[in-house]
Amino acid sequence: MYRFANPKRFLRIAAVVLPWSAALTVAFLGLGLYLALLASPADYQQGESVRIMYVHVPAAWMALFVYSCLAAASAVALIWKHPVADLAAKASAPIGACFTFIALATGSIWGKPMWGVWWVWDARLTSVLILFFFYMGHMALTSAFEDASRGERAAAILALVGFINIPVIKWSVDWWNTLHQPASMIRMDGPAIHASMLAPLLIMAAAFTAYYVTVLILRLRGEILARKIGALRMTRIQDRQEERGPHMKEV
Amino acid sequence: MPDFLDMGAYGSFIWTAYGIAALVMVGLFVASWRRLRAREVALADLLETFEEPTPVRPVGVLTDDSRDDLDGRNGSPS
Repeated sequence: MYRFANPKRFLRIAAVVLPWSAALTVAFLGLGLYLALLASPADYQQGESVRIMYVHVPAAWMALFVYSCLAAASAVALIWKHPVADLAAKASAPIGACFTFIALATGSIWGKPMWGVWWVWDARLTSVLILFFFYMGHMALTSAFEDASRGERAAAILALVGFINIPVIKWSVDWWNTLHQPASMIRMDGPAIHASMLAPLLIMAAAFTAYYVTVLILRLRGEILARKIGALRMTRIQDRQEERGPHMKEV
Repeated sequence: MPDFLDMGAYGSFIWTAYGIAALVMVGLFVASWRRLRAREVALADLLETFEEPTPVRPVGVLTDDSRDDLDGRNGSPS
């Protein structure tokens, strides 16, 4: 773990991973979209509308997965004060928020023809909406303080508190009555979904994961550069003060 | 082709859902990429100004003042 805490080492690894993750995103997306829109069959109950599942379900999985990564990075940042962990959490939040938004929007669009309503205030939908607010709160907190480290610390605590919401989302369909269908993948008796629908689902999930890695690397590199720029500007200000002489420091 | 776009009368729902997902994901990618590029440019500009601490003075003319500046920054005039 400590090996990745060094920004220089991280940047070296990221440079190797980035072309692969970008290529995998394109390849999996191409194959996934072909299977989702053309090769997979219509559902015997839901008809063609089931195709929304291939975007909605992977996006919802990613919303939970990215938040779990964000919470793990926040815990590492709080306990071991790893500089890259703080930045990884900061870089993950907008990506997770986008996936959550996609899950909510596509779910709503799928709900209208299937349930007859765009939205219901049941446990699954409400807990995912709360997840979206946690992401937004995290993004707001990281940039709310002039001292970046204070904002990151507050956001890390918020991320850990919000993690309670993750199991609530996962099991909300079992604990409460809902219009939302229960889990079809992770079940005691194996996935309750035909291979022709499982394949595009898993490939789209792989595409979204590769996309997350790609955008995370881009954003993390951006955060590391921003920190470097901040440090250089600070050095410049100190240098200028020294050039003007010691009496200027007291002003 | 019209059948494919129509999607058994669910076309408007399906294409709106895919369209929103595509828009958000492409938008986030482009925004992240542009942010990174902007910071790379900003860092390069900043490093350039560090390499030329006295850009207003004519090159090759070292006054006592500028010599002091260089001494202060680099340790030795070069």
